[in-house]
Amino acid sequence: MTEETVTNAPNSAPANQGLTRRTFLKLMAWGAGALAIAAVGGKAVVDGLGRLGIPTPWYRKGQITTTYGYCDMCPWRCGIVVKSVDGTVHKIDGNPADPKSRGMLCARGQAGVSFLYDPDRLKTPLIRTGERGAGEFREATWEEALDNVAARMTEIGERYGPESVAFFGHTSGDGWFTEYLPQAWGSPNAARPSSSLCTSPREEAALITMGRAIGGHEPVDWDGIECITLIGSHIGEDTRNTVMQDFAAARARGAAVIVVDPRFSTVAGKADHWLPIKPGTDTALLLAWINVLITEELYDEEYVAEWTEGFDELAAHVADLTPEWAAPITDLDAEQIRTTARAMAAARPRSLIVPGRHVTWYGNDTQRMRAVYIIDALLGAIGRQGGMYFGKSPYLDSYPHPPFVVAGGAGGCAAEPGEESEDLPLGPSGKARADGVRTRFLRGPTAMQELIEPMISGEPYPIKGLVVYGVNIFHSIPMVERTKEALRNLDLVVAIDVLPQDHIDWADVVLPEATYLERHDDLWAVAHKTPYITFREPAVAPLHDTKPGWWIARELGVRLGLERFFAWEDAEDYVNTRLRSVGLDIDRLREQGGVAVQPGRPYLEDFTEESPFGTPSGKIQLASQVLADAGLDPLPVYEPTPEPPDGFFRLLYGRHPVHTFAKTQNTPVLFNLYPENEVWLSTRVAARLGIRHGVYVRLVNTEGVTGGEVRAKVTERMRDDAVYMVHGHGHRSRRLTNADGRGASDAELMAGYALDPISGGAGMRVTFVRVEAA
Amino acid sequence: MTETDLTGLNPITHPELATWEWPVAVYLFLGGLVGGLMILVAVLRLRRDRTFDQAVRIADLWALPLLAAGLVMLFLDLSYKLHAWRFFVTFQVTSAMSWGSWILLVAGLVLILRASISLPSTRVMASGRLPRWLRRPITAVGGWAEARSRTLDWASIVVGAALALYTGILLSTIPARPLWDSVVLAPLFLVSGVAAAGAFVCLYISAEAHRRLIPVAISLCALELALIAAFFATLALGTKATSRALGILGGWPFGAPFWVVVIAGGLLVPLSIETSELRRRSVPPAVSRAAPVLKLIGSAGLRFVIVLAGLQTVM
Amino acid sequence: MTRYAMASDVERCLGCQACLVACKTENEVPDDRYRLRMRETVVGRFPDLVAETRLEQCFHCDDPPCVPVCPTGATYQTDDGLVLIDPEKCTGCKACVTACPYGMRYVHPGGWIDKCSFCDHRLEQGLGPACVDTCPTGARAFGDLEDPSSPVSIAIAGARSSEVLNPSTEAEPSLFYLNCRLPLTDGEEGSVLSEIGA
Ligand SMILES: Nc1nc2c(c(=O)[nH]1)N[C@H]1C(S)=C(S)[C@@H](COP(=O)(O)OP(=O)(O)OC[C@H]3O[C@@H](n4cnc5c(=O)[nH]c(N)nc54)[C@H](O)[C@@H]3O)O[C@H]1N2
Ligand SMILES: Nc1nc2c(c(=O)[nH]1)N[C@H]1C(S)=C(S)[C@@H](COP(=O)(O)OP(=O)(O)OC[C@H]3O[C@@H](n4cnc5c(=O)[nH]c(N)nc54)[C@H](O)[C@@H]3O)O[C@H]1N2
Ligand code: SF4
Ligand code: SF4
Ligand code: SF4
Ligand code: SF4
Ligand code: SF4
Ligand SMILES: [Mo]
Repeated sequence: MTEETVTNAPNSAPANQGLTRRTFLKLMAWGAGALAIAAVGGKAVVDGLGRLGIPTPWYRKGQITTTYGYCDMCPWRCGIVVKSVDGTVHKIDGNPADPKSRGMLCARGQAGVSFLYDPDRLKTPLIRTGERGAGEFREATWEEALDNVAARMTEIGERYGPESVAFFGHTSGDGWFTEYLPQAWGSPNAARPSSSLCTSPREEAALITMGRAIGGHEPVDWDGIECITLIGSHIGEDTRNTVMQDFAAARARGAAVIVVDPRFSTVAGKADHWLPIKPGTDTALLLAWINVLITEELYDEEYVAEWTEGFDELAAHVADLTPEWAAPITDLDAEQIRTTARAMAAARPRSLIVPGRHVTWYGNDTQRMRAVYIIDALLGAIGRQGGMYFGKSPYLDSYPHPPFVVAGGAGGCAAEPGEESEDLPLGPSGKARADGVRTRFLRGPTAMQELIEPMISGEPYPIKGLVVYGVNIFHSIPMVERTKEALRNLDLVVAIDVLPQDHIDWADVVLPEATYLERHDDLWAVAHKTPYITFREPAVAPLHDTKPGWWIARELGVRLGLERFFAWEDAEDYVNTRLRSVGLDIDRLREQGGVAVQPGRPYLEDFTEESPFGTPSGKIQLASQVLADAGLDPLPVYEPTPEPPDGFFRLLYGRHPVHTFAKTQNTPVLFNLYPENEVWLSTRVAARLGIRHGVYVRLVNTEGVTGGEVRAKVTERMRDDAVYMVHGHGHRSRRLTNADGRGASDAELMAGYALDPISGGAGMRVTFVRVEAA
Repeated sequence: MTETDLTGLNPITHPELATWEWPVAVYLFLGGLVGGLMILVAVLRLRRDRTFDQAVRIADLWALPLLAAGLVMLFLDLSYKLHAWRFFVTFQVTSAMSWGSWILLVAGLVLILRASISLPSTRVMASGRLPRWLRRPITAVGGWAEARSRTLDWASIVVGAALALYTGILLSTIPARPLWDSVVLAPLFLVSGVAAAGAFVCLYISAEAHRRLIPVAISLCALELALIAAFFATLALGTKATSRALGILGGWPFGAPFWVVVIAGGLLVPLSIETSELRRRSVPPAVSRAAPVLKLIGSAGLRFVIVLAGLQTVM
Repeated sequence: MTRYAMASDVERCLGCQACLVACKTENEVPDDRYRLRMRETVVGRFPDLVAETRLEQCFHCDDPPCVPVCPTGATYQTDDGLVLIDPEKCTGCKACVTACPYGMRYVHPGGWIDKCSFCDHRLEQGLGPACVDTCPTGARAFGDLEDPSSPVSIAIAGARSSEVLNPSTEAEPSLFYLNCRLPLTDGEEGSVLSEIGA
């Protein structure tokens, strides 16, 4: 129609022209409109088509909310800032105000999002229906599951006494289950793996030698350090965030680094001196170092005179323990031993042998750790800048609950001086800890692995119930078969966890906890150079039918008739009550950036009235009266550890930078990075055995136990007398869809351990394995 | 002793994550072949020699589907197929790929016109089995095109050459792959494309036409060999990376296909067969027919080897 | 004018892989894909060994060979020297992947091409790249190369040595490796290569 009007226009009668022009103009308008619409629409279409299938990045999805907390991907607990959008967590950053994270996080901390959304998580309470270990469960309500646990705990308590329920706990809610609930309930048998399977020897050695604990945050004064000596301590693979930060900064400033490790660890690659020591002989090296420091008069005479006692005995003790004596024992070069001792001394007092963390190695570990502190004292480094500072706990009251039924919980790596009292706390039926303290070993926090035997033998009294909160008992405790036998003997096994770890199949009742990103928790109060307190709030509501640990502890407590200890409503109430003792509450803490820092008291000069050393004499005991009184060596003695039989190698283990123990192997993003462990074999050993790099092999221990197939990493980085693997792989849980069956488990291969007669630590480097082609 | 641990998958350790695959080689081969057909047929038509009418028609009718097949290959290799149209809403002057996509479009247009000339004389059209609504536009367009046949022939030559050259330029403008870092690649693919086109039409045409094409075929073969030699020379005399890259044509898995399929099978053997034919030696018909087949395989093989081997070479 | 650049101190890096995970999370990089990878090299014979760890990602080359080959303009270079990809324009033709001499691009499972963006979205917010901000050792520095007071300039100025990977590409990478002791190559002849990943 319109088309005709236009084409006809020139021929139209003048009378029609007005109409035509109008039509024409209309047409122009229409056309322009259409063009505009086409242009805009076309662009819209192009843009729309272009966006097809491309997801909006999380940071453009909406308002980003941030929540403070502290990381629980490992026991170090760095302060975090959690970023979420619309109830979904997307990113976790370090809290810049936090003295541990200072705004940075390690790989595992960064992977918290992936841990939270792991589809394999425990989602609802479970009650066992099949045999222990069969993994047959039915889903239950919280009500039913908690009633069930409470009823059976009560029954055990009535029949055997509350002491017969043991509590194992780790991860950051462990206070509720290793201290609060057990002490309220009345069991002294509460234990953390971070003691007797980790730090006990170094803590007991510190308490014996210096009358001070090392504590969870090792008081190394990295700021001014000029010579760093590491015995084991594989920083970089051990990825504790702050330690990496401080080590790197110190080294960049020019600090010398001495690394003693049978393996060319990451940090050995950063060392000025690497001593590839024969495993198990460190005490000989340390004694030879002492010998050099004393005979060459390199030690700090003034410091020794003022702050130590027993120097003459020490000097006499090491007189013959020369580098030449140590060289054949340690398989090191005597000259290198001398050179390194001189390097350490040259930097004193800004020179420290860093107290390791995982030190339960050979069963004589407290003595080795004593030798470490003796050297630190000879270097005059303890209480000095650039050496070892004195950590201080922040002021903070505990919740004003009535006195607990049992005084003293599990203790742990942060045990405070004085906590180690002469008298063991007793339970309501008059029984003390069943772990053999005072009989099989001298002292220290409850030794988890020593509570297994009483579950089997009933000696010194039966343990009939076990509550496992966040402990991976088939990976963390050696002798897995023994643990399984113990579990078979129990009347009650409760597992509180977030993942279907290997031991979950053995629990009668499984209580799924909400992760650290979904819950409130107790405060995190850190003994530190700058003591500080931080808190945790949920970034998102609990996924699935999960509950926070404090809630589980409280609900159980109430059902167990312990209401009087649970006067607080919820964690916020509990935390706010505690915070008020330092003039704070959660809101104020949040407003000030999540962290409250208090002044410390780090150096000798800060102690004018009393001695910083809690020993009876107030001095560092180079020779120990406590040990002499107990009929033990007052000075460290090198005791050879058994050698591997022919054809066997010592099994060493350590950390992988992206994994925590046995708990993160299933975490998708970390699984992707390191899905299974490898066994490190020296090039020479591999050639001898005909094993090629990358092939699967089987490790078989002296009892014939094999830990699953594992890939060989053939490397120049290993000595010939040992093999090495990363701890924590080799899961056997169908429901861990990523981790199941990947790699080998070091724990499974540990058919025994060497009990440290002083601290109760379980020395775990006494396993020997053969390597077989798979 | 050096030990290297790589964490985090990436194209260098896992090339399948990222690089081109076989469809690109097929696409480049088809692009060269179609370009060659366009040139060849136009030259033959411009000479107005009726002996080659059949050849011209074959080429006109096959070029379009072959080009379409090439496009399908290109499409197959796109990892974001939903966005294939993105090629045609922009022109990026530095990108050979962008030039190529527009050249393909123009080539398609030219080929449609060419096909419309040859289509009316096909049996399908003649039999009248095609519905009227289809037949009418074809004849109309065909008529229009036939009237501009000479222009179309020249356009074919230009566009065909551009197409065949582009298949080489696409590679040689990617210096990251040193095996492709030679200016000879474009003329080589052009000549190889024309030679393949010749071989292709020889599969269909009369013995007489075939014989008359032999001298051309021989010169193309010889030229191609010379260009391959020049390709080697440019790489050998180029940078350290390019001379190192040549090594890949010496070993497994690319060496054997290159020397056996491309050089011997695709060039030397057909060359000797055709030389014999030229000298009027009696050549068994089967052998005679084998020459173009071998050439086509060799020509495709050349693209496969150059593309896939090139992807393995790094600076 | 700003020229964004990064420095990666191989001497300082402890191979902790925090950067890898931060990158994956911040940028929602899918499983089995990485914008950042880690190469650990150990050379020598027990006990005389040298180890070095290098993090590799798109170098945001000053003269980036991946840009001119892109047929749609999806890959482009900003005035600040960032080389970015607009997935909305990408066809997945992989010309850019082929053209990158360093193997820094990958095909996102969604079809488009992805690689390190120097976290341009974080730069807009005044933050540093996720991998830099989380690095516990301070081995990574970022900033404006033209500004002598930027962290990257300071790191380079304070380093014993500063190199780019394979300068013969003439792409002029904007990522500088500091304090290398081993030659900066893609591995040696006869080396043992382990690829770690699921
Ligand atoms: N990524 C990561 N980091 C972690 C953890 C984690 O799970 N993952 N866990 C944290 C915890 S709780 C702990 S306790 C620490 C543990 O980490 P560390 O305290 O560093 O543990 P170590 O056992 O001292 O270090 C293991 C190293 O000791 C070497 N070694 C083995 N046998 C001997 C020997 O006889 N003598 C000497 N000198 N060296 C030997 C091994 O080769 C290995 O390199 O890591 C902490 N950091
Ligand atoms: N063979 C061997 N044994 C070892 C070591 C070794 O290197 N080798 N290392 C020793 C050392 S140093 C230590 S400190 C210990 C560590 O021992 P564990 O702390 O037992 O080690 P993980 O494997 O981290 O176990 C943590 C458990 O807590 C669960 N979990 C994680 N988050 C939560 C949560 O929020 N709530 C609850 N309820 N559970 C959670 C995990 O799923 C897992 O089951 O192991 C010691 N034992
Ligand atoms: S060291 Fe890493 S995993 Fe442990 S608390 Fe800190 S950020 Fe979390
Ligand atoms: S985060 Fe830093 S120290 Fe850790 S691997 Fe990356 S660059 Fe190295
Ligand atoms: S590294 Fe590769 S992807 Fe990055 S800018 Fe350079 S050429 Fe482009
Ligand atoms: S794959 Fe995408 S970004 Fe790369 S060249 Fe092709 S269109 Fe450009
Ligand atoms: S700059 Fe951003 S995108 Fe690039 S590697 Fe670092 S975190 Fe990943
Ligand atoms: Mo530990």
